[in-house]
Amino acid sequence: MTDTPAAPPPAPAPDDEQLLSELHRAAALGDPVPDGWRATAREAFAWSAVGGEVARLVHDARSVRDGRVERRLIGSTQRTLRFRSGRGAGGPMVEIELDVGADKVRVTGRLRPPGPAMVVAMSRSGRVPAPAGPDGVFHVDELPRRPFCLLVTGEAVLKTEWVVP
Amino acid sequence: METVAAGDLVTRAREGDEQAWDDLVDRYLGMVHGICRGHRLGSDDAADVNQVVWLRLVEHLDRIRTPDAVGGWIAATTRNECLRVLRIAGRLVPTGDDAVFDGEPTGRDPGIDTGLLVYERDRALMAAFARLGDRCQKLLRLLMADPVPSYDEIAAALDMPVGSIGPTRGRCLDRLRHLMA
Repeated sequence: MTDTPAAPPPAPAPDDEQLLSELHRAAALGDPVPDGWRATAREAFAWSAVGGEVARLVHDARSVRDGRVERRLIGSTQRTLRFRSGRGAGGPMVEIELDVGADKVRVTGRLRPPGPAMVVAMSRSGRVPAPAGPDGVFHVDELPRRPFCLLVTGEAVLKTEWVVP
Repeated sequence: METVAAGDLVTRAREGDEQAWDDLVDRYLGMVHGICRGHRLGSDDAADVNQVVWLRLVEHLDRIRTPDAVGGWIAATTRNECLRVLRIAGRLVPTGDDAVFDGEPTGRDPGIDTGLLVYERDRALMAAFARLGDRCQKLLRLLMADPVPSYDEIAAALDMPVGSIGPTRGRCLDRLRHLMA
């Protein structure tokens, strides 16, 4: 009788280590790190060559505005972000308003202090130039809705932190 | 297994050593994934968070004050980015501590492709897992990561004291056993 390959006896409740090890195995089988994540993470190293002082994200809020709807993306939400470079409260800033649609993002930005500059929106899919005039205002009409940062070359040279739009 | 201190990897990556960077990725990628899944982000959002976390780390390599604590930095950054994505999407619902262990599940999607689970027991286990409270899922997701993060890193990822991780872990596993019984 001992060699009958019948249903296994009811297993005793597993101890913590057993249970964790089972969870570990189940997750590895059913929920592994997705393909592409490792390559994305490794590729990030190449971006260390992209220069400029990093302007940190200091404000990030969904903005609700009435009116001015004519330029909005369909079904979009609005979001306001402010980046400041690390020279204390007086450091140069980049303020942007994001108009976030299902798969596109529109950026309206302003440099503070205002002044002409070349702004480039960078993402893994490429670079989109957006010159800022003497008033420091710039526009990027259409970006894919993927992580991006802005590289600003003007009186100050800075790069905003990466953001998920 | 030889273990190189995380701080050494940071120092070498700062000097441009790509292999050291790849080693950092290998060490912490599972943790980043576990934190994203614990927050129940969709696959696109989770992929974006993964990308931004590593890009941020590149930007901050020179400024991390305690290179040996880079794992904690990665954990906290991942958590913050997950919360930001949820907040912007209007999906951030604060979880009261009362709901930690016995709360109804706050999400519908356990985030597991059960079709991939070969074993019935795995299926039952993950089904029970999906019924755990929010905080237990977040903690156990991290303990399921490969490699398993340190308690310091888990504390940073969950914004909880190191001293409460062990007891919480025990209660969450008890709850899981109860749900499977």
